[in-house]
Amino acid sequence: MKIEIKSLSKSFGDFRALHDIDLTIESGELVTLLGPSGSGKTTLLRIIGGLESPDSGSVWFDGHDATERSARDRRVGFVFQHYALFRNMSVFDNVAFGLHVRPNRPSKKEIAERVDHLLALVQMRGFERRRPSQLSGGQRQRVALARALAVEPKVLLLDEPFGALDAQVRRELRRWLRHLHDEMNVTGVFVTHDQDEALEVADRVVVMNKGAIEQVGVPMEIYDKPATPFVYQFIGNVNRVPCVIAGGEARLGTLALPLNGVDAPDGTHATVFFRPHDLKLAPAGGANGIAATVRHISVLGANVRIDLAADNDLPLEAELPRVQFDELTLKQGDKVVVIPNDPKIFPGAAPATSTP
Amino acid sequence: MAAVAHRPRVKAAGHFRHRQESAFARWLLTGVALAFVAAFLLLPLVIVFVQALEKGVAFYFQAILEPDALAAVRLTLLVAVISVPLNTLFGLAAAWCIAKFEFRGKSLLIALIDLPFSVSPVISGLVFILLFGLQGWFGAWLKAHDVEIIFAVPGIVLATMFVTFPFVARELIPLMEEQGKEEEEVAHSLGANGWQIFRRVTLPNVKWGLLYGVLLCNARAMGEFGAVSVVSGHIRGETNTMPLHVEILYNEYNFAGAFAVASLLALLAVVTLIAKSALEWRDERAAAARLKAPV
Amino acid sequence: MTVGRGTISPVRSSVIPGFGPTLGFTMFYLSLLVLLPLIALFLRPIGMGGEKFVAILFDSRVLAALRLSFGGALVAAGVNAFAGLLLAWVLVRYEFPGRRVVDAIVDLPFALPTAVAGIALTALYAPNGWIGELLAPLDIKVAFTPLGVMVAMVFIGVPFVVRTVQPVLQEADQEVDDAASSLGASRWLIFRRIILPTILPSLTTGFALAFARAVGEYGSIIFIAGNIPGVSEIAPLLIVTKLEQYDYQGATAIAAVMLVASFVILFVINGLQKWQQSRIGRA
Repeated sequence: MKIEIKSLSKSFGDFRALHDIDLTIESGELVTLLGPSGSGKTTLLRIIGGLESPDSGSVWFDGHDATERSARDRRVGFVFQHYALFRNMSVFDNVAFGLHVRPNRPSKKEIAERVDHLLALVQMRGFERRRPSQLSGGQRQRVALARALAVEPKVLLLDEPFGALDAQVRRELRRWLRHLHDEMNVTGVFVTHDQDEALEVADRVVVMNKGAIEQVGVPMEIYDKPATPFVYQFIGNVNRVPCVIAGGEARLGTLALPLNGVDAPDGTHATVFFRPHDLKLAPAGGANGIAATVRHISVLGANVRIDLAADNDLPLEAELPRVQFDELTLKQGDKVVVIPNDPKIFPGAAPATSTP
Repeated sequence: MAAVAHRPRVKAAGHFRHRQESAFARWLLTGVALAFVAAFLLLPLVIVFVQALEKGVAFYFQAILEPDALAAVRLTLLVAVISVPLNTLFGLAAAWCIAKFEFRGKSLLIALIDLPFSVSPVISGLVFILLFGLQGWFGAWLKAHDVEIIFAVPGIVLATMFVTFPFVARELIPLMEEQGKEEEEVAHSLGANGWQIFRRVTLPNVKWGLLYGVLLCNARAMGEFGAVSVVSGHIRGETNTMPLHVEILYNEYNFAGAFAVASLLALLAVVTLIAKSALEWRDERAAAARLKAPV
Repeated sequence: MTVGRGTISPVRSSVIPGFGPTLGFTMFYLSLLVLLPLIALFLRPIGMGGEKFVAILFDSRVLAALRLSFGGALVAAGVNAFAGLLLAWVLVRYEFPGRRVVDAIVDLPFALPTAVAGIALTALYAPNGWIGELLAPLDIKVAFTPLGVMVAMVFIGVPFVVRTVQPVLQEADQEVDDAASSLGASRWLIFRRIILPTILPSLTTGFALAFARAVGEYGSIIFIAGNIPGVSEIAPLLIVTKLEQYDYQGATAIAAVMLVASFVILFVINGLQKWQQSRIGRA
């Protein structure tokens, strides 16, 4: 099912949760809504599912206005962070619930077959008689997913589904979910604040901040070509160095960087953004770059992270493959120059860091 | 943002195992506390049964099987049968709208529900006399239409309902609030209608709390004295509930008879307390089981 | 689902059905059972005029009854604050045989009909009763004196303090306690400086609840009190007496005063609970 969201706004009292959102999700796509808490991603998900109604704007399913349609009639499946399993029902009854409450209820045999099929799908066969309290978090979430799939939803809505699980289980379930989604013909919307999860699971990522969409794109686009400073900082590590625009270039000490289409008059302050792994290091005195001192070196398996300090104690970070690092033979206190490979310049001072 | 999911709050079942105070202090504090419990709680309960059986088992059964006593038992049961289900219905409705929805004036509504707890039972009866008594607002109209409320069963039922309506609501509101709304939302999105959500998801989740609320409501409905006393008119065999019958027998210096009837009410109290404790231990075990479950 | 499109609707829209009917039923029930009767009660004194109202209240017998109900309740709530705290402390912190039974029996005053409690306490504290007998040689008379009134008030208030303090004590941060201990603080200092401030809001709430209950209590008191006008006659009994004499105005005037007092207490309790919540939130 194709989902279109048109100029959607929603406030809770004085708090503006969503502001003029436009978004199209293609049928069969798996889209993640990524953003810090308070960015409006969960509210958007709940409005798509019909659990909240918008103040203005509309939600369209396959070209039909579904804004006033009740969640019961939307054919959406929900999966919540804290599972929301019916605690007084067995695993079987949880999964069978959606079939049981149908006006034209299937026969007992059909229900049993369907539940068995779903439990096999989520690898929970043999747990039929268990209570939710007797399951681990990962098992609970798989049951919740089977329960949502039982009614053959056209849309699957997942609200931080792996947020309450530990890292190992998270990674496993993430891959498994991606695999499951590929097998089924369902449109998926997945809310998360975890960038790795968003990039790994999604066909497309919607980055949200303060009730607005910052960028929509495939994961590689989001990572390689962040559209805004917020996206740059929220996804992956980034170095930020203040600079001044002069003569159609960004001046950074002796370094002059091309603006690449950034439109800013001479004399404005701007910030250069570049990834720690997207740079070159050279011994001081040789190449033209940002002068810095090596503060600390940590080996991270195949890569080496080098903490640097530029002028005014501005912290910089570099991540090099072991081979490259070994060639440089760096040690603490060495003077180097940092040459950004593919820097992006945004006008204005660097915004305050927000940790994802 | 969307509602934050409530996680079940697990009450620590562990105790502070005598690690702190000296043995003497512990012994002294426990001793004083137990002496207080004995003087104010345990002995009053025990003496009811002792006094009831003072004149022997035969007299005891004679006292509780005497026609006026049986009439009082019947009336007490009738009052409970009417007021407890109505108050249960009220409790469920009030808890549903208070726990599952946000609306203006909610705290005022909660305060209003708490009101009978801080109003003297005598006043709870008096207000109905001011409404339906001969000099009351509707007194003349009721008299003209030959409807008896005060000094009759309807008045007793009304006064009892006033005193006991908070019990079920007070039990259910915090319980339903703690359980949040997600299960209901999921059920709704899976296609359940309002009644199905209530019967299959909400009710099973609060059934023990509901049972406890009903128990307390029932204990108070059968035992209410002050409010009922004011509106009853004390007509023997007709408008006397068990607590009122106890008073009449006592004032006639038929102490053994009074205590015999009182022992039935005390038994009800003991059963209520046992049921309450059983429900609490069940909760504790469930909490302990949750703690032990794999994560 | 378009829930509550009528005049009353929830502040936040919700897909959960049933808001309209349940709130409607709740309001209907409360209006009929609580609001209407209370309005009737408060309109009476207004009808009788201020002078008459004052004359009724300043009658010496009425004043004495109000003094006993409020004063006695104050003393009883004070006793309950101490005894309840002690009981909660012992129940939470110590293990002893019968702990479960004692914990269960604390709720007895909630479950035992007040008339039964009344005659039982009288039998116990009468000069020839099990406890009265022990006190008689000390020249302490309980039953049929104001002291008896207070004994009944203490009985009826026991659960309030215990049940408000108990959960707070249980959750009181054991680590804070241990840390203080390891810093060499004495038991008494730890109690006074760390534990008492933590439980003070709930202790005060329990005190106020016990006080409110004792002020209005009737059933358990009238048997043990002796009901001597001006000495051991409580205000609720005076209301009943006036009703039996068909003095509706007198009864209503006393009731109105008591009701206003309970509203004030309720208001205070509400404030206390907010205080308690903010305390817990801060920790």
